[in-house]
Amino acid sequence: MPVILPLTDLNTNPGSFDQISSIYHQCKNVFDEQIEVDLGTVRWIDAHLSAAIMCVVTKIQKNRNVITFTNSSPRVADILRRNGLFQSNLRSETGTVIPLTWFGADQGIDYSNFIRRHLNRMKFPKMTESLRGKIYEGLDEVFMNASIHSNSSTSIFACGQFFPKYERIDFSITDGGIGISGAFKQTFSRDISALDAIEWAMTDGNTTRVGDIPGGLGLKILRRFIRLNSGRFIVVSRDGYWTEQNGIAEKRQLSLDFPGTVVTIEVNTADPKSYDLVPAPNPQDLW
Amino acid sequence: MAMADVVISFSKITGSGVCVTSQDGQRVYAQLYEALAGGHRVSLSFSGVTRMTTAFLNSAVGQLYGEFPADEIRKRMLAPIDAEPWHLSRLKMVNDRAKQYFSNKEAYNRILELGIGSGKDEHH
Repeated sequence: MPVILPLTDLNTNPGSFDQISSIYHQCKNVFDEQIEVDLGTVRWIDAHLSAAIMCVVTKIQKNRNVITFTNSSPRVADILRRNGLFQSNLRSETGTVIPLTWFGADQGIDYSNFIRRHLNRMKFPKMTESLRGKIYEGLDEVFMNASIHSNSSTSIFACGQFFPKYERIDFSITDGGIGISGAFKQTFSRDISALDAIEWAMTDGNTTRVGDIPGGLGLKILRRFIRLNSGRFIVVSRDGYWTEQNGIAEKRQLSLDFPGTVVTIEVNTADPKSYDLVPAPNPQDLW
Repeated sequence: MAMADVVISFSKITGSGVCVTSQDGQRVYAQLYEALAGGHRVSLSFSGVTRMTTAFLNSAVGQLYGEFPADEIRKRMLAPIDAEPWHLSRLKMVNDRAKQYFSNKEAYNRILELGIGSGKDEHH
């Protein structure tokens, strides 16, 4: 008997992540079923959320379930076709879409080239070269973070959308791993709430990396950049939702556990700051 | 073996200017370790490096501080060549972090753990 799951509008907020997680929780113990996600009342989906949705879909498909999205309005269907969540030959390699794509943890270079290829072809009338460099760096750091820490058997999902009218690009990277709190527990053998774990990971120098290779810088570099850019930084990991905009961090407890970690950034593409003006350290005094 | 000054080029080892993965950093580290263990002095070349992450640098150079004393590294590692300001800035950040991490790893981890929930934040 088919399982029918209704969704409502999906924006980048706690309620929407709970909706995405609810698909997972309602289906995680379902096997060999037809699962229908009913989009009949959905008028809008933030396109980059496709990365989180696809992560959940992939987990459910592992139980040999078949998932279909039904009753979508023409507008929603168009968004999801162009960004690749709906399998379609209309998946866009042009325009304002960075299509939903997934990578293995060892495919950092492919991912890096994918980002560069899409951002290079897009027309950002006011984007400075230094801002472009910072975006590349931030997105590379997020991927490597997921690759090293997620401990995931699923892929890392990436998806983005440029909004020319608002001079903003949204980008989301999702892994289906153990979450930041899971990585903390693995390292320190101690439980921590998902929210505390996110805050901990956002603090300078903190890392769940152990052994011979230090870590703990990637998310902090990204956070610093997003603050300077007046953008928005959102992290969902398990049942923790953390966001920062204009230097103000907010955290919310989610009702449901997301099966992994979603890092989303919204970047102001018209930011005129010259990020290159930071003075270089003395090359004689690096070691 | 006589001591020599050796140049290790990131982009030559990785085969491109995209120096982002921990695995590629490990390949750099293998050559760097061999040169230092052989008694040589080393200069890192950033020629052609267009993308670089701290994950790459942590593997490539950060772990040096777990193998060699900091004053030995200071003596043997020369100023980088063909480096842009952002390369130097990231290298310095990773080195400082590695020194802190390896100075007393267990105590450092304990301190980090105690910081949970204290509301501490980074300052710029």
